[in-house]
Amino acid sequence: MWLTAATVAPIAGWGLNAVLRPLHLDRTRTFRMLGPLFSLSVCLIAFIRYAPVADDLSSLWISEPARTLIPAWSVVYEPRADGVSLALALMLTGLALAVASFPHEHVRQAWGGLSAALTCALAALFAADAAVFLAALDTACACVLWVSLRASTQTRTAVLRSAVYHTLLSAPVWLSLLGLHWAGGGAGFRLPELLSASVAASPTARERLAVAFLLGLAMRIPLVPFHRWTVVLAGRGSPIISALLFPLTSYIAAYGLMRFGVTIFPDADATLGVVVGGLAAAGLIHLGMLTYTDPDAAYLFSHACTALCSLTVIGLVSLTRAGVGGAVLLMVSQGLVMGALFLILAALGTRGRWSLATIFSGMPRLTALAAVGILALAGFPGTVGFVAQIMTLAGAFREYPAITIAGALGLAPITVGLIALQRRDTVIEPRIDPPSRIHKLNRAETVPIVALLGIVIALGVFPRLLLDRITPTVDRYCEELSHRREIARALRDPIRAVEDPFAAPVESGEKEKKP
Amino acid sequence: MDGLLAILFAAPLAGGILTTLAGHRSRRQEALLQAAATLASGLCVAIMGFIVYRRFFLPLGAIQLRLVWGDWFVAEPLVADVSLRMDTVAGVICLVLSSISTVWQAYAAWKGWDQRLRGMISVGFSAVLLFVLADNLIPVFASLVAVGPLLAMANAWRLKPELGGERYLQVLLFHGAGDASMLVGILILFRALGTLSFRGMGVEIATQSVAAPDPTLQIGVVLLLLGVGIRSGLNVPDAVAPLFAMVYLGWRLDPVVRVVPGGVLVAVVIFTGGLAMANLAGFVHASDETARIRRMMSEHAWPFFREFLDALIIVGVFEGAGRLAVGSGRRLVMWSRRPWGAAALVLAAVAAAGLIAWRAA
Repeated sequence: MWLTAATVAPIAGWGLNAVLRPLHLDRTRTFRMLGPLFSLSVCLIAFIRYAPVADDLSSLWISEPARTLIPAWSVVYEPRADGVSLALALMLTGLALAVASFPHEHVRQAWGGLSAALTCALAALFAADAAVFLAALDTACACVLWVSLRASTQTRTAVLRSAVYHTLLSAPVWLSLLGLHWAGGGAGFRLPELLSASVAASPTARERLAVAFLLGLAMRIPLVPFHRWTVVLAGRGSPIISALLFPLTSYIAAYGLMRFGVTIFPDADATLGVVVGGLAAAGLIHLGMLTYTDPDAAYLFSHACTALCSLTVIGLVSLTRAGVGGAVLLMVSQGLVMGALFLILAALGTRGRWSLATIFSGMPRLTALAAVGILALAGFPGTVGFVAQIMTLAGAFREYPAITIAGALGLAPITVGLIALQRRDTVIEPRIDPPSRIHKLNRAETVPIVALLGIVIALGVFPRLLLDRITPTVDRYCEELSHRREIARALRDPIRAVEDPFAAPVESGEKEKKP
Repeated sequence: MDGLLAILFAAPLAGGILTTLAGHRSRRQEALLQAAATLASGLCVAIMGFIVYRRFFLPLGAIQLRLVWGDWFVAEPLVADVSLRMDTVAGVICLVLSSISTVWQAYAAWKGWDQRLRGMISVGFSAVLLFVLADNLIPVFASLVAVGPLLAMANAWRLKPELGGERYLQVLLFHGAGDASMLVGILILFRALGTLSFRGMGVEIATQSVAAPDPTLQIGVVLLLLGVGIRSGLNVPDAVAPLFAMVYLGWRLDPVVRVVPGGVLVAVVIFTGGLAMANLAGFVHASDETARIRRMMSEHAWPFFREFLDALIIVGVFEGAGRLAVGSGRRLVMWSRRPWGAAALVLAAVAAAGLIAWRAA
């Protein structure tokens, strides 16, 4: 029951605090931290003890008994965890713990919605049922949009637009899933049942379902042209919510693309490689240019992170060990780095409208942390972002060289734009009434940021701490996919399977010609 | 003795990080950090002098020291191992780099420059050492990516009046283009050869057909050279260390470069083109001290001697050493202007070359 406990711990902590508040027994910050701390502990113990003993993709180290949620539709809640989901859960809970401990007004206001989103995100990561995954993902997105709407009036239009995007993009995914469920005779929404339904379907139907499912899920990562919602929400909204925006929404969608999308439709090479990969490369170049030209720090960070989400997609669609492993590492890296940078912006936002020059001279500790964070986001050697980018590009290059080259060119303006931030006349917009003079960072603000950046640097120097645990899952994933791809191709085109070039068609032709 | 390589790389890195983070809090702490940074640089020089003295009898290119640290990260078939390798040529380059770094650190301490600037330069020097000593293209690329922003930020910090914001951004943008070109070249090489270690690449290339070389591999090599040429030519001023390191990288990549017909010529053209572009675009913008010394040399020194010294940027080193040794660099430079002073320098250079040749023999 540990996975279930880790999943509900964040919302349980917030609920306990809400119950105790009328009794004046609440310790708001303490109970905020308890939930993510418990989840982090469970995930960390599971991750350290995880052993690569899986026989196939569905047989994982941690699993719990299945509970039927909707018998009529065979919807089952069955928590399962592998190396990749545990790595993402660790990143998510660690980041949530850092945000929960940060002394900022918006944390107290938004923590109810954020804890609900965190619970849904963990449920999505540990779900073995595609319907449960999609429902949890949609709920997490809805929670994040709701807290964004409540936190700032400036984001009202952006939130409404994002809600429309999510609805439009979620519909084809659900329709595709329900179509498979119906084609499979209502067997269920777990991977074996969906894969059987996918293989049994006609090639045309499977291709249409694949397009709807994969594109709908990929666009939520997000990809161009539906990328604007994350940029505006992260750039204009509260930095506290922006710190958790990408891990709670985009990275969960990327995990779903890998775990369910590609697994259910293993022969959708054309859709994945050309369409999704091409859109990701175009987005990387487009957003890279915007990163270089944007003068606002929050928008610059959000542009950079959205661009790197596209790089994650390029790695995932390559379906190579290095590409997929690098994409997972990139998600972990960007989640931690973006969290640290937006916490820095949150600290600056409480101190008024100051120019960067004043900030650099008056707050040396923050300057040093910001420099480390910016270099980490740019993929500076010594940080885990560099390792992740190299692995992703090297893995993707073997399958899609043109897309990878375009992606590599798009990284250059991102790096330049981030490093040149100190030379711009950038001003940090305040979120709260500014004080008369600038105050340095206090310990409560420094510790979470230092912890996040310390993990980034530690993983950059010793990436095998993470890679050794996720590599078995990635290896199994790639092996299973190649095996299922061969089966699906053989079933799709049995004539071609018979006309094997290594067979003996010449002999059969000669026999036919003989009288 | 192979462990000395670890000290050589780690000492300036640790010192630079400590100095950058500690910043300037109190005068006593600042003085301690200054002394520690200078001593660390001196330690590197001492280590290099010891290595060169003990192992210089080896033939040119033979390995003097080797340190294998293991795999940085592995994603089959991509393997990034971090092993340091010093041959006779790398030993000389490391000795020169360590000497320049020591003189620079001492000069910076004399001038009272910001601790964080010195720390950043120290970390950059450590990156250049990794660039020279690494035995795999991934650490080489990592160190090159690290050196660019470090030196650019440090020089922009120091040269604010001369190096405007726009030029700084232009330099960074060209660095990004050079990095992208190098990265694509490395990816192509990895796809064609299946390995990124220098030894492995040499073995794979030796097995390939000389009459019909792989065109994809040739494209990758050209892109790699283009990236290296852009990075080595378009650099901020006084960046001597990357220049030396690039020359050494060209020598290490010789088996790879020969895949391209006339590859050495291509490399020289790209490198020279990069330098020409840098001068035309006005990127090579010297500091106050170096510009003043160059003006003095153009007025007083012999033309051929001026070009020689200018190419090696030794004058900047002599400036700092002279200020430390005799209290006035102007005196030393004026001394070098006299015929007997210049002759003494030439004789010293000839004696050093003879000593090296005698040791090598």
